Amino acid sequence: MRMTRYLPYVLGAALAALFPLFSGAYLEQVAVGMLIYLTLALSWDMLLRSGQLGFGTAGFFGLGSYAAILLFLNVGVHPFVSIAFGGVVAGVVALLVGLAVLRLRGMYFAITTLALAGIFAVVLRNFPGLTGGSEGRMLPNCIYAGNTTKIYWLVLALAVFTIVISEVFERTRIRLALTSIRNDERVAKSSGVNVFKYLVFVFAVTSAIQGLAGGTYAHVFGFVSPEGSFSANFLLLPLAMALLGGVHSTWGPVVGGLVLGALSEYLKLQIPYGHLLVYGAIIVVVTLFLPQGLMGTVRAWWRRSHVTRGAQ
Amino acid sequence: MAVLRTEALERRFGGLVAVHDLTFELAENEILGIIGPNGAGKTTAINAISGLYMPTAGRIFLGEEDITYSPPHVRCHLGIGRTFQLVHPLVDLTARENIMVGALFGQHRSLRQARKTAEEIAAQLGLERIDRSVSDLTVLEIKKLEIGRALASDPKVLFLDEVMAGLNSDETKAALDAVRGIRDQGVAICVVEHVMSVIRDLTDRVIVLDGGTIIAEGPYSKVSADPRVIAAYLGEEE
Amino acid sequence: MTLFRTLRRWQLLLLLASLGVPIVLMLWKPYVLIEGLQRGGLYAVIALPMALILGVVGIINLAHGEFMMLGAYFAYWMGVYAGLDPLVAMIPAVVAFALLGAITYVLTIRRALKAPELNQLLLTFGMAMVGTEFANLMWTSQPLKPHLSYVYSSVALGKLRFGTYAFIYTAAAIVLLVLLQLFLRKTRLGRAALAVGQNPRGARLVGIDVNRTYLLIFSVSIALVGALGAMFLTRHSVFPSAGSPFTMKSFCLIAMAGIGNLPGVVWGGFGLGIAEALVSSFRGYGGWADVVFFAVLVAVIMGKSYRRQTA
Repeated sequence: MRMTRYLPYVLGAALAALFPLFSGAYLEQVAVGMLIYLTLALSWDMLLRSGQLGFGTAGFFGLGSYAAILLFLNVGVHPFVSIAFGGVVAGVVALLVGLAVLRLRGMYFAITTLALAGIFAVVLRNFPGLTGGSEGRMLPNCIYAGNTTKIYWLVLALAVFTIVISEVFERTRIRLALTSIRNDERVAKSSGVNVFKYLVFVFAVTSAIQGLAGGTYAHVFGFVSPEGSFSANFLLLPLAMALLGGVHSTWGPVVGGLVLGALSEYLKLQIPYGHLLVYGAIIVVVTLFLPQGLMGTVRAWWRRSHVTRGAQ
Repeated sequence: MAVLRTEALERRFGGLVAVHDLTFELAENEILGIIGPNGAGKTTAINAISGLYMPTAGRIFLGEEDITYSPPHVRCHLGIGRTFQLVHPLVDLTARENIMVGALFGQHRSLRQARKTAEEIAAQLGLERIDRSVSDLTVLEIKKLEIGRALASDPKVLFLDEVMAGLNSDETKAALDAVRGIRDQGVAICVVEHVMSVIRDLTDRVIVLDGGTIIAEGPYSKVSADPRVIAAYLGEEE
Repeated sequence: MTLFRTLRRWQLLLLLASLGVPIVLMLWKPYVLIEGLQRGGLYAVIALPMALILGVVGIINLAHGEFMMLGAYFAYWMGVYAGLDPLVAMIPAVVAFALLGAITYVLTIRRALKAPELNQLLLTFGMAMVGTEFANLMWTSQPLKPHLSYVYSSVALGKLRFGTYAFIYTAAAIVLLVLLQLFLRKTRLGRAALAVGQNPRGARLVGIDVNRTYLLIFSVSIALVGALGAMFLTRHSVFPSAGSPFTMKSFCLIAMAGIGNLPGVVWGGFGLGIAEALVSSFRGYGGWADVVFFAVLVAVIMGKSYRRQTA
């Protein structure tokens, strides 16, 4: 019983881990990009489950990138240590920002987090001695000397780690706390949920994951710059993925990430300069016409057909 | 010994005084009714006591403890439970999970304990379809659900804000029995209600609010004969 | 009672600051005052239509700056193909963007009016991205700017020599504020719009066509911001992401003033402009001017939450 329940997960993990055996370097590179964005999409959704719309993914991603690269270049630690440092820096900054901004909700939180990427970029640009200013900094060598198979496994580990954290959120009291805050904050408070504490906690954890993703990405591509590391793509793509797949669950953003990740490669080849337009359009269309996303719609459809069949 | 006590409680919104000079006690095992015309400050009083609004003056004691400025979740931990005037179920959770929220966060129980507590409370309240989504439940079931959620946090004092509104007479009877059952477990209960027969049948004592303050207090039979109350409330439309 | 007194003290302080700071600046750093009023005028005039939409339709339009950016492109291409000066191109821009606003409203905003606030934010964020990427696709990320000689006009007062053209933004902010106030208070339509903003259900009960009011206010606001894009182009280059900082700064001003307070938006705009100019005026710290608005925004949010707790 137990075995069959976990079988799909085991199979999926095995398939993902063995992917390099039957793919070339090109597909591995595609998968690396896809998994990074998938990680961001999932972390964004984990915050959304508390009813808070954060636009800070690009900001914390870039912050983690810079923290990881600067520690690596200036102190000379192991790349993994520097990536972890990127996560810690992003998490701590999110904690401080959250303590201030999570006292208000809705648009105040959303827009303040939207401003973060620009703010971090300005601050980093203004310490050119350390950060290289507008030029940014380059690594002498990328991680694993650019071996795509090893890089793929590293990024896969990051994505799996995020999926595990997300499932921990889904299977413990955290899910009930976040859902109650999203559904009705007054009820949550009156039922004993320390709303502020949970919100700051989730904001810090999800931002730390974005920082880890940034640190990993920076090591994979070997550079940081204000333009590149804080690019709006690191906000736009994850949002489109999570919304398309379906929010408020682990598997929605994962499915959305896989679908859009594959699609984005195709689009990049078809319309090299404007493929990002499609993501914006996906956000608009899904928000208006498919608020449950693919997974939510499938789930609702399954439930409906199931219930009617049960009634007959 | 009073379970809950307020002293000259006041809550203003800008220039508007919603509640003022509200002093009352709730004894152990008591069912207290709060009545008054619309806008008399009943719900504001509950919000101030449960912590959703901070009082602008006065004090609130739960037993010996001064909770005047405690945040709402702390008041819940200390033993204040409440329901809301219009039903506020947590729509993305099942019925069981709704009740579990109270058990998990009101008293720090484990998931397993909380699941069991939810089952016990549901059985006590006669809530059967516990694993259904909230959207499948009837009004009576949702009301029971909300009482159950408040109950799951082990309150010493339970505020019920118009739980009988919208129920038919059979359902009201079922709800009355449920409330009495809760009292028999040793919970002091404070009901805000518009349905006078409910107040008459259920309460040991009634306080009447008008214009944010108490204008009469005593058993229902005495209060309902008070000319000031009749003028303020019963004469209005009832 | 104490709250009332502190509020008054706040207001007094604000009044003193709004009189005292310019006087001090005029003596100490006159350029900061001049540049601040010019910059702040631009922020204020662009924030006003956003404040109007938020106040009446109740939607925060995260694509606001992108509409301005598209307006600037519109004016640029009007200049290239029709030989129109950007300031003249404001007239066709009003027509084109009123239409664009109406289409946007009917296709998207109207469907999201009853949706949760988060969906509205996501929707307009998606629209902003569509706008930016559309510009990227059509015109690449290359900054574009027409050559206009009149923007370099300047004047000398004693030893002080400064550009005068940018005062057009200061003037535009004040004129637009006055016009909007007149519209909202004196005209039937404007009063209806105010009523809808305060209480849509009540407005519907007294016979106001709420949906049409929303459509009107949204189109007018987009028409305004499109035309302001043309005015923006006279002094600045346009590129796909030129608009997004203005969304942010506009929201900052609205948050500072409070929803529905149009004069507050303009005062806030001048305040922000002067603060930015002051920061830029210190040699070596000019790069920090772009974070001033963020500091203001966080301070405003802290202040609001503090007041909410005590009130």
